[in-house]
This record gives sequence, structure tokens and C-alpha cells, in this order.
Amino acid sequence: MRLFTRIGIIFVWILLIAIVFYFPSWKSQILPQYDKSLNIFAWGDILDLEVLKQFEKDTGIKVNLSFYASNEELSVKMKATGGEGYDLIMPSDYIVAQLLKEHLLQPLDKSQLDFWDKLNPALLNYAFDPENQYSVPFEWELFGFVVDIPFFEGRPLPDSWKAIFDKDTIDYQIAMTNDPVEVFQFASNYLFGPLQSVTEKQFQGIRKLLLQQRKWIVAYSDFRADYYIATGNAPLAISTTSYVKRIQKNFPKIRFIIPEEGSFVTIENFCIPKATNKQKYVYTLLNYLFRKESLISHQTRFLNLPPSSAYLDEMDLNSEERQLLTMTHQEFARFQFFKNLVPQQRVRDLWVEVKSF
Amino acid sequence: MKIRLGKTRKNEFPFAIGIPAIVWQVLFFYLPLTLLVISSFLKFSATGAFEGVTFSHMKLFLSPTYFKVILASFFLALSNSILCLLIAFPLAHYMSFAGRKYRNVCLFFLIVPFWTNFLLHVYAWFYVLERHGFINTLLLKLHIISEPIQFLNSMPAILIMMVYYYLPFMVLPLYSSLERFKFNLIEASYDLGASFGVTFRRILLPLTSRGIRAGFFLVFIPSFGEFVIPELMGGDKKMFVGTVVSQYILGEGTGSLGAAFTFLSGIFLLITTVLLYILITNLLKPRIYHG
Amino acid sequence: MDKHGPIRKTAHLYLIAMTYLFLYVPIIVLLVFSFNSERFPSPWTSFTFKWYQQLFQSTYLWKAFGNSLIVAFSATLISLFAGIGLIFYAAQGGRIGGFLNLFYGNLIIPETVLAVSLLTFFTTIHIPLGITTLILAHSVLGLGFVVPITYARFRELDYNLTEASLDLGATPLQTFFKVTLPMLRPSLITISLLVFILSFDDFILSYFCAGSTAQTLSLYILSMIRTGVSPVVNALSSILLFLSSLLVLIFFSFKTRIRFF
Repeated sequence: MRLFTRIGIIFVWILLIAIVFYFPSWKSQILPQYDKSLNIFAWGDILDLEVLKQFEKDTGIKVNLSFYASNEELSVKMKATGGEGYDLIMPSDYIVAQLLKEHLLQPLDKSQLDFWDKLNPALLNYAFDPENQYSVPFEWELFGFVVDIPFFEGRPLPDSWKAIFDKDTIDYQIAMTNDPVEVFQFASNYLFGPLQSVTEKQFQGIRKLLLQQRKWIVAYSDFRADYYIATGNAPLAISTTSYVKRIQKNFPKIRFIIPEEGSFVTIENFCIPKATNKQKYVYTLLNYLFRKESLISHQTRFLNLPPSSAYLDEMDLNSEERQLLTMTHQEFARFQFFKNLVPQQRVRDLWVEVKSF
Repeated sequence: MKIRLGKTRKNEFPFAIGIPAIVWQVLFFYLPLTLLVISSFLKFSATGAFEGVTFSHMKLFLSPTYFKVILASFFLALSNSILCLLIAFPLAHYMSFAGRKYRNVCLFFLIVPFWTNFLLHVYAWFYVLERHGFINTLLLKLHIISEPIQFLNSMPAILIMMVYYYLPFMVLPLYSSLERFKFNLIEASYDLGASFGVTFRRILLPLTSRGIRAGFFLVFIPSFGEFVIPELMGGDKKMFVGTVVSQYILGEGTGSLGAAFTFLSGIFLLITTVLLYILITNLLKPRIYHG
Repeated sequence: MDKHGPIRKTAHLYLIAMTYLFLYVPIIVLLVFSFNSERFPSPWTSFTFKWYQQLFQSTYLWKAFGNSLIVAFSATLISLFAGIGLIFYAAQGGRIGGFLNLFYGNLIIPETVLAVSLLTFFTTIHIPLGITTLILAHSVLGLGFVVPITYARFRELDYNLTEASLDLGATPLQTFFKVTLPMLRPSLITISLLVFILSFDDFILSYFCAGSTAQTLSLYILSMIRTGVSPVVNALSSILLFLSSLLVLIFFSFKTRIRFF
């Protein structure tokens, strides 16, 4: 008898605990219309908080912003929760394709968006989302070299992928990006040019190159290129356009160089998870974010490449950027998107091998 | 010794009050661990559908590449523990026979960094070890070197930070153990003609072995799973168990792979811990007869 | 006789001094440079408070700080009450002995393993990740400290006092609240402080279990470190150091021969 009472007590406690922890998800499921807020899941340093604050003031819709540090984190969280809990996400191009395969996105109702005609056509209609039914580009970046000019005085500036892969010409240390997919493709592109997939022999070649490259790598880092250059650790780092511009403000003796063989581009897009029912608020926010003032504000703050070329004259851009922003769809073709050349697991295993003793 | 404050109560009110702690622990510590072990052997398709029981995850990780990672963590943990022990012992020793005032001062200054967010300490070491950091600037000014030495993004930097962070974990148990130590035993040993070395080996060490073991494993076990320090201080050039685990667990569709690797490294940790425990106990055993 | 006594003593003191130098040089450098007007790696230029100003204006920082506080408080309270509840049961004659060993698990498992298993657990049973899951995770950590240590102190209590209380007619309940608990109070306060700090500074559990909505101070600092070096972090460090010192002082004032093991 006593045992039963005890088991009963245990059950009651478990029930209480469960209620406490499941309550938030029940609350948002049962009372969505009472919840005048939006949950955005995006990269850090992409959305201007001032603009969002202004949005909250103007519309009364509260914005909850959360950050992820990698595309994989976004991907796995989307899959784990079925997209629940987020009303707007910002995946990169190849992640959009993955999310579409998993049926986690809802199509955009373009009639609700008033800025579509102002978008840069060079950013639209790519393979990851033909006709952009599910995604709208917000920002894009190119990969290239961040170069410490004083170090290269008296020698040719690095303008080819050889500068990070050719052991005969490298006598300095570099900072490499910390993403296995990116690094793998850089190597593959250097050795074999643009490919759709990689044979076993090519894979071994890439593997040898990456293992050899370790000798002149001072660190693998995605976001600290400026730090390594400023501290004199490495005169060359791989990074992206927006990062470089930000660094240049503090360290003017830095230049961004795109390798002549071509480079890689990522486009950050807004997508709406299928599970949300706050579309009305989402479209309001999107229209707000793509307004002229907002785009200018974002460009000024983050120095990124904006999705629209309609307001170029009012933005502070140098000639290189202007050129990039007025490219046609065809010119854009010399930039590749990242893709999975081999099954993910092989890249992961290779990455662990590159980073082991 | 049972403490009874009254007759054993007929109602279950105390039980109801007392059981949540145990429920909590079982539900949120042991159940998740079991789940982890189980999911190491489960296979999920790319879309998350359950596919069956498998050993393929284990086979995947029993390859040389991944084993090298586990070994790397092992050696990191081992060297960290040994270094901490070497540095902590003199400190704990001093604290235990110093006067009360000095003792508290020492403890205070030991605990303050311990109670501050460790990421800030990592950050602080950047300032010290960088090419234009404190040490290099000092050495350059004193003309001891002509070029800045590269300290960071290397194994030594990782070890320095590890010792820095884990030192209190070693000092406190040692201090606890030394506090109860009867120092007149040392005096007696000297009076009987023994040298410092013999006194140390035959008297001090065996009688503080409990504290040494506690401190050693309090440092060794967490160090094995450490990955943030190697990433920030080592330029993320080498992967350790924690790095691989976080890559797989936070990666897409690789949750059960992450679980499997955690499980595998956990087993390795368990085995090495037991072996080290036996080794240390034997090393510190008081030898009555010189054999 | 220890011939080399004096030399050994000096060497000993020298070692101690070196150890504390090792511990505090980075901290001092950090503090000093929080007032430097130029960013790292520039050398000392001029004195300024501007990084502190920037720090106080950062809304994200305060949100993260607030989250960390909430999580730490809640986790501490939960561990504390669960622990006290367990003691209550033991005080009324319940047998815990064997179950106590359950709580030593926290020390045997690296925190990463705990974090990973909790994350797997949460996603499997579809609990939304957030502040609540974080509080849950930290309270598990806290329980591993509160229960063993408080129970040990409880067993050490002088039984005569409780017996006297009962003899004087107090009910077991009254005895528990008016006699047992007050006797445990110093220990409870110190252990709560310890758990609070552990939770506030914790990084690994937050890294895995915080989900998207909960940004804690540790995660915030990590994102700042990962993206470079900013004196704002220096300013933050000096303030947190100051707060920690205060807490340690409080801890010491309650300290009554705490035995850690």
C-alpha cells in the first residue's frame, strides 16, 4: 500500500515538472493571435537593431532576435523543432535548398511584398530556389583574400588561389576559414576547377593538399581575420566582403582581393518556416526592412552588399563595390555557390583528420 | 547512524517533500545519459526517420583519425593534471601551515579568478601572450629578444590556459587534505634523521593521497572534455573530443553520431580513469618495508 | 635535520609568489587596458572611460546579463529547495543513504557529456529549448553539489539539540524549521553562493542547451571573443571581477571551516 502511494507521489511530481516545461510551447500553440511578436533566427551582425527597434515602435510588433553561429545550427534546429518557434529565418543559399527538400518552408506571397521589382536581378533565380518562390535575398558576400599591404611591399600582391595553396611560393602564415565545406571547395577549385562532384582520386588529392597546408596556417577562424592581421600573426586571411570593409575602417592598410580564377559567393535569404502562422507580421517586417532607409542603414552599419541596387548613389561605396553591385546575371556566373561535392560524412572525417595530430 | 526526530510518520508527507530531488536527478541526469547511450546505437535517416539499431556509428569512430582525437584529449588531460599537481602542491602546502590571516588571503585571491567567467580569463591571456602583448613587449623592451615570440595558437598556450583554469580544482582538495595533516609527524621524521626527500615520499605523500587523488581526477575528468580553450588558444587547429562532439551534436542529422562518439570517448575515459586511479594509489602507498 | 630548510623555505615562497603572479598578471593587464583609448594591439595611449560607456549602452549585454541572473537564481533556488526537501525527509527518519550516491554522478561525468545528453533528451521529448531548459540543466549541476555537501553537514549536526527540542514538546516539523535549518544555514548560504556562481559563469551547458531565445552572458562573451578583440570586453571583465570579489568576500564572511571533501 505504501509503495503505491509513493509511486503515485512520484508520478504527480513528474506531471508537475512536465507541465512547467511544456507550458511555453502550449502557450504559443494555443494563443498565437494574442502574441504580437516575431521570432527571428538569423546571423549575428546582419540585422540592424536600430531599424528593428524603430519597427517595434512604428508597428507595435515585438521582435525577438536570436542568433546562430553556423548554417548547420540553423539546419539542425529547424529539423529538430520542425521550424516551430521561428517566424522568420535567414538561411544561406545551399541551406535553402536543403530546407526545401525537408519541406520546412512556406512559399512567399509576393503580392504582399512591395519591393520585389527593386531587387538586384543578379541575385535571383538560381538553382537553389528557381524563381525565388521561397526565399528573398537580403545580403550577399564574396569570398576573397584580406591582405596586409605593408607586408607585401616590393612583391606582387596575392591575387590567385596559389597564394594560399602553393607551397613553393608561400613564406608567410595565413588564417583560413573554419568551415569544412568552404575549405574543401577552395581546395577542390584550386586543383580541379569548378566541379559538380569529386572522384576518389580527386578526393585524395584534396586531402593531401589540405594536410600539407597546415604548415602555414596560424589559425582556422571565420570571424577574426582582422585580429590576425592587426596583431601581425598573418598577413593574409580568407574572409568575406562585409568583414573586410569593417576592418578597413580600423586598419586602412588592408585590401580585399578576389582571386583571378574566380571565387565563391553566398547569398543570405529570408525564408518563412512552414510552421508559423504569423505571416502577416512577417510581411510587414520584410517590407519594412527593404525600405530605402533601412537598406541604407544596414549598408552603413554593416558595410555589406545590399540586395537592391536601386539606391546605390545614396550609399557610401567604393568603386569595386559599385562594380560588383551593377553586375549582370551573366557576369555573376563567374562566382560559384557552395555545394556538397561529396557526401557530408567524408568531408567531416577529412576535417577531423586535418585537425588531428 | 539514523537520526529520528520522531516516530516514523504514518503519512507520506516527508516522502513527498523529499522525493523531488531524486526524481529530478534520475529524470534529468540518468535518463538523458541512458538515452545518449541508446541513441549511439540507433540509425536515423537524413530526414530524421528512425531506421533501426546499428553498430555502424561505432565502427565509424573506431578509425585511426578519431582515435587520435581521443588520444589527444587524453594527453591534454593528463599533462594538465600533472602540471596542476606540481604547481598546486607547494601552494596548498604553504596555505596549510601559514597563519590564519595569510591562509585566508591566499584563499581569497585564489577563488576570485575562479569565480569569474573563465572566458574572460581566456581573453585576458590574449593580452599577455599575443605578439604585441604584455610578455613580448616586455621582452622586446628589455632587449632579450629582437622578434616577438609566437606564443598563441599553439599547444603551450592551450596548456597554460588549462592550468590557469583548473588550478583551483587541484588546490582546494589538496588544501583540504593538508589542513588535516599532523605536521608534528614531519618534525618527528626529521628528528629521527630522515632527509627531506624521504620525509616527503614516505610521510607527506601517502597521508595526503586522498586529497591528491581527489584533485587529480577533479582536473583530469573535465579536462578530457575541454574544447573551448583549445579552440580559442590554439587557433582551432586541433580537434579534441569536445570539438568533435559539438561538431556532430550541433550538426545536421548527426545527432546519433555525436551520441556515439560521446559514448565511445566516455568508455575510454572510464577505463583510463580506473587505470590511473590504480596507478596513483600504488605510487602513493606507504611502504612500510623498504622492498 | 633538514639542512636545506631556509633555502627550501625561500624557494617555496618564491614558487607561491610566481603562482599568484601567474594568476593575476593577465587580470591586471586586462584591467589596465580597459581604460586605454586605443584598441588592442596598440600600446597604452591615453586614459578613457569610453569603453565603459559603450558597455552600459549595449542592450544586448544587459539582456544576456539578465538572462544569466535569472537562470542562476532559479537554478540555485531549485537545487536548494530540492536539497532541503531531501534533508527534511531524512530528518523525519527516511533512509537516504544509498540514494545519495546517485548525486555523485555529476563529478564523474565531464560537463560536455551532461550537456550533450540533455540536448539529446530535450530534442527527443520535444521540449522547446530556452531559458527553462537552461534552468533545468543548471539545476542538475547544482543538485550534484547541494545534496552531498548539505547531507554531510546534516549528519554532522549535534543530535542533542534536536532531541532537546523534541523533548520540550516541539513537533518534528517545528524542530526542523526552528532548529535544524538554522543550524544548517551557514552551510546552505555558502553552497548557494557556490552554485549561483557556477551557474552564472557556466558556459558549456549554455552552449548546448540554451536554444535560440536564451542568450546568456557566457555566450555573449564568447561571440564577442570569436569576432575579435574589443576593449568593451575588458570593461565587462573588470566589472565582473569586482562583483565576483564582493561575492567571495560574502562567502568568506559565512565560512565556517567548510570541508570541500
